[in-house]
Amino acid sequence: VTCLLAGGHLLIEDVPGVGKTTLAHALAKSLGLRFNRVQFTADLMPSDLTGVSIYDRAKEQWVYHAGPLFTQVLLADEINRASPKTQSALLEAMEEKQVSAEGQTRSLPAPFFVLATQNPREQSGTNLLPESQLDRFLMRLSLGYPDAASERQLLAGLDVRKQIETLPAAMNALQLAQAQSAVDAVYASPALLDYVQRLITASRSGQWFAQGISPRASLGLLRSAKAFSYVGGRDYASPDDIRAVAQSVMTHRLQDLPTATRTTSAQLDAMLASIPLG
Amino acid sequence: MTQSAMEIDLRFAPAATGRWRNWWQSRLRTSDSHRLTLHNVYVLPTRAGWMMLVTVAVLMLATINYQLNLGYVLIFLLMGAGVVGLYLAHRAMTRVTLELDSSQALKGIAGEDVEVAIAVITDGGEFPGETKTENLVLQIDAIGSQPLPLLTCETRYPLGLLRLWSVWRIQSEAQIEPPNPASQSESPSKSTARMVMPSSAISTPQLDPIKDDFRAYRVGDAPRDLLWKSVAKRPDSPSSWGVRERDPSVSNSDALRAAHNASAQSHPPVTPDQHGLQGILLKRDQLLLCILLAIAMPFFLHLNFVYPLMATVLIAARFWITTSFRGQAPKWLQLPLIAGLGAMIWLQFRTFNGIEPSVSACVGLLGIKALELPKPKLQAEQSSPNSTAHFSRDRWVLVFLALFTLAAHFLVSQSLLSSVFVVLGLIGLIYVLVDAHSHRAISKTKLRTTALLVLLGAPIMLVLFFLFPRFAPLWTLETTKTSAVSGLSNTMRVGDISQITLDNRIILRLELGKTHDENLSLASKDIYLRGPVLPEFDGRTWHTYQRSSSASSVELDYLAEPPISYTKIEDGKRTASITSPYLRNTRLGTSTPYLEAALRLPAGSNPRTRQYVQGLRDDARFKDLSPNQLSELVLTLFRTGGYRYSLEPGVYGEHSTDELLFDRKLGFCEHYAASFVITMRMLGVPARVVTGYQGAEATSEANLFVVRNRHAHAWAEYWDAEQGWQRADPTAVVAPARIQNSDAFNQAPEQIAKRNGSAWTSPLLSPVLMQLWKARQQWDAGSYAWERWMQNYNQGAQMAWLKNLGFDNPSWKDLVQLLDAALIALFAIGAAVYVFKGKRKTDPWLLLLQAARDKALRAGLALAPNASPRDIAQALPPSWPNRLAALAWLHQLERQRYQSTRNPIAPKSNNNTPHVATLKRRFKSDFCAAP
Repeated sequence: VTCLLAGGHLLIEDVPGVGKTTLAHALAKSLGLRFNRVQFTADLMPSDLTGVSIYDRAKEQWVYHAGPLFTQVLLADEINRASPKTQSALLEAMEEKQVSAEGQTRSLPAPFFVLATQNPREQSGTNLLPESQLDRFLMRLSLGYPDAASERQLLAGLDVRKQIETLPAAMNALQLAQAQSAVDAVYASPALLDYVQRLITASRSGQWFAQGISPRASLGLLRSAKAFSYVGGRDYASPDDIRAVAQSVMTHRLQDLPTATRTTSAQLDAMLASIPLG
Repeated sequence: MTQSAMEIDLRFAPAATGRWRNWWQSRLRTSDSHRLTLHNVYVLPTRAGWMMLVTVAVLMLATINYQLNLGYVLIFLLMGAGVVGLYLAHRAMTRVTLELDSSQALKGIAGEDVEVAIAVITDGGEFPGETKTENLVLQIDAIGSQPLPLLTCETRYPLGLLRLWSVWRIQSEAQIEPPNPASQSESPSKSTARMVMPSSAISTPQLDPIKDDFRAYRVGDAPRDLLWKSVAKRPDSPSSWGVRERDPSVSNSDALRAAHNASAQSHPPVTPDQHGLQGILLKRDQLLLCILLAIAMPFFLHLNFVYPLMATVLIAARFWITTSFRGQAPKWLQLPLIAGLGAMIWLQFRTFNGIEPSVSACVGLLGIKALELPKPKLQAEQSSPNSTAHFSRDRWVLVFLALFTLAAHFLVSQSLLSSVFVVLGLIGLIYVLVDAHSHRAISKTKLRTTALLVLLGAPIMLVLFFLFPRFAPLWTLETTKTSAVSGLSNTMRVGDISQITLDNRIILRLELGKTHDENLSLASKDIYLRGPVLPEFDGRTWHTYQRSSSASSVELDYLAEPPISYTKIEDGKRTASITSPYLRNTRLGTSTPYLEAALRLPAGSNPRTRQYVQGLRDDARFKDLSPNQLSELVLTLFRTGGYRYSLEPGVYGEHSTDELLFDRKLGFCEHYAASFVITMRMLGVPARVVTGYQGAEATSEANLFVVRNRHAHAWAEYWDAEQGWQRADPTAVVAPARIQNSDAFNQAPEQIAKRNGSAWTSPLLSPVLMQLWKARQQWDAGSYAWERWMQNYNQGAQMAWLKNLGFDNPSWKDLVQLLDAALIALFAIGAAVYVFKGKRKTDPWLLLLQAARDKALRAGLALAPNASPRDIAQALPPSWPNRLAALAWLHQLERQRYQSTRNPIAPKSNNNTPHVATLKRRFKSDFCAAP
């Protein structure tokens, strides 16, 4: 939800079967947005996403049939199963929120939100997402296995997918837009900006990571922190917000040092702990 | 200090002219953000700064020549404040970043105001990231994408003596659109017709405002006035060439004009908020006048009352003018005032040279200049009380004059009181300058700045004072004083001394030398200080010999052996002397004409005395008596005649001696001295009146006596051919108490008790008055110690001091080296503090957070070194004492730092974000509450 409010795209990465798709589905449903789901497979072509022009005999002209991309929430399931060609077709859509196909540029509806799920790269039959595309995802989340109590509930309960059908819409597109502008207005004090800058500088210093985060990522970091604080009911962002979103926003953009002994996530934690609040 | 961004003025510089300037400006790097550092801030003294340097140099010369130690205090304090001022100004400038507000596009219409928003961001300090946005207005006449002119940011804070400035070339360009789109679209063909070459187009009456400075080509136009390229460049220009109108008034249209000039023309001269500004400026003037008044006041003690009165009245008049918004005093008044002042000085002193006339002139001029102070001028373009334009030259002149007056004060008095007063006056002047050159409206911050200037300047002053080598006067000065002894004049009329007898002012201090015999204690009654000697008598007034007005000083008249060496401290100047029996004779006094003068009596005066004395002379018993015996005889007459001493004997007529001796038998020293001298002269013995001081006030120091004005006395001397002039004091025989215990007799409490009765005898008031009396004694002692120390701190004292420090053979070169070393050390300490402070976490917020974390750590909580308030809050166990208050405090701590202080989205909750200091106060009570 933080990610959505921050106006960014979300990548959920985990092993199959922990409920990624279900979560995405539930999110879209409860937001009351138009929802399309595309199952990414190895033979999915870009035009399958963007749509094609088909000659309409009745009207005697080419009619563009919009692909599943023209929606408000796009669930790109198992995105890393598609070919790189298809993945890059998403690039323009994700960043510029428009689609160029057959010489015409068409803008996508607003809000446009890509929810992608992927399996960890070790899994067979996957194409690694390029860094450029990873950078376009504001956050990468990992669900993890549910804890014992939740799992018990899961086992004992009804079919979850049926429940989603009955989920009421909590808000509409207009409310979402308002919320997003409110997130924009969340105050980031100069002290906080100093903190963020120190964070960015540290990530790029070569001491912690081989490659630091991009300016887009630092913007995203601040924006996510703002959204997080907005969700927390505050009108200002604090370093706690930054820290709360840092893992999701930063880990998929950072490259480990060749000598790294820790996971990216642990390394990031260490880096966060080393940066003074100032 | 921390809110320094407030002190910076931003303005667009007028378009540069001149090749060198252009070259220099083109070398500046363009950017949209300008950080002020050591490398791009320039410092030069302002015009007032140069004048201040000259003033200080003149004061320095005067100080050296008059050997005024206190003058050094004044000058060095001023210097110290100047140095600290440079530091403060530098701090104010170099923590600032200027940024072009990129959120709004730089767009405008030609010939109209373009708003440029500049964010002034201060970093560091107590209020991190203070940001102020300044909106500058600019007029650009040319259209298209136009570069902005250079932006100058400058400050004269805090004293206005230095100008620190930096120049910023802004990268962004302004998009200027043609002024009236309606007229543009109206008829493109028409404008084409107008601008295209054929001269028929000139007939078009209406000229487009942006093109009113060029017109179509006419036959005969000079080729150099043809505009090809610049016109062609204009996107709106339909023609490829035109002719520049050579009218100077409109010729600057291609140039960018500075915002201020432009708005000055386009706005009415006084806008509503300038009335408030006027009020501020008037207040500033009133403050200045108050300080001047305070500076002029103490001169009542030292000068003829006319001059300080004149200054006071004039300053008060000017003050009244400011309060009643009357503008200024008429100009024609100055000339008569200056002439009057000159006339007064000439009448009193007969010279313009010398200390007292100069000081008097200085005080008088201060008043005249204050009256002349023009009304604060409002320049239309200034809507804030930006000092630079408003602290005009006249005000600076007043400040310099006030500085001179302060220094002049040391010429007439160097007492402790004077020193305190002068230092206070200087602080007042510094405050006036700070007030005028700071943008802050709150006087508290200005007071703080003033305190900083003075307190940080004080160490510099002290080092300089102690170590600055004392030179001998660079050239000798005529230091003749026109009036020899204050309180005593060169003439004596009956009643003169009774007036000063009531005055408790300290005339001088007498320090008896160490050579004098320990066993010999000089009692108060033995102390006769001879002042002017008055042998000439015209029947009414006693004069000096041949009415000369030559200066004389008072000397100790003590004849016993061995001679006593003594030091006289008068007006802060020390003079060492040795008593001498020749004293009475060396002053003229032995020549025949002098002795004749000392016998002369106006014919027909005091007939009854003359008759009585004739009887004595005829008496055989008194034949052939020596002058000594005759004097004894006359004194016996006074002793046995039933004469009484009174300070209020009433008015005497022409034959005062007759009246005194035979009728009223009531008088004081003058009457008895005069009568004694007249009687002796009638007896044929040359005699003269001597005025001076008799008796002295003992102090806690055995050798030290204080002589006050009330010790003024008159006695007589008669001529003995064998022994020279001999002293005879008829008052001593009439009223022995006056002489033997002059203090007890004259002491203020008793005297007041006698005169007024009640206060001193009342049991209620008497202890209070006694306390006051004692306090005054103590003040006198302290004041004396101060004066003595100040006077003694000369080159010799410096060398002795150096010797104590371990220099074998100290010279002034050592002193200079030491001075250098001390100054370098002082600045090194300053720099070290600065650097250290810069490195240390001075952020009070962080320190507070650190304190909270430490407290939590001691309580056994695990917290990361960079734990945020929220982390601490989450770590707080439920068992924490007063947990809710602690949580609230932490929350406020977080909000203090990260919450917006401006434009809150949601209306803030009831508890507004408190200041760090408030949080700090509440730290103990809220966070560390006892269980």
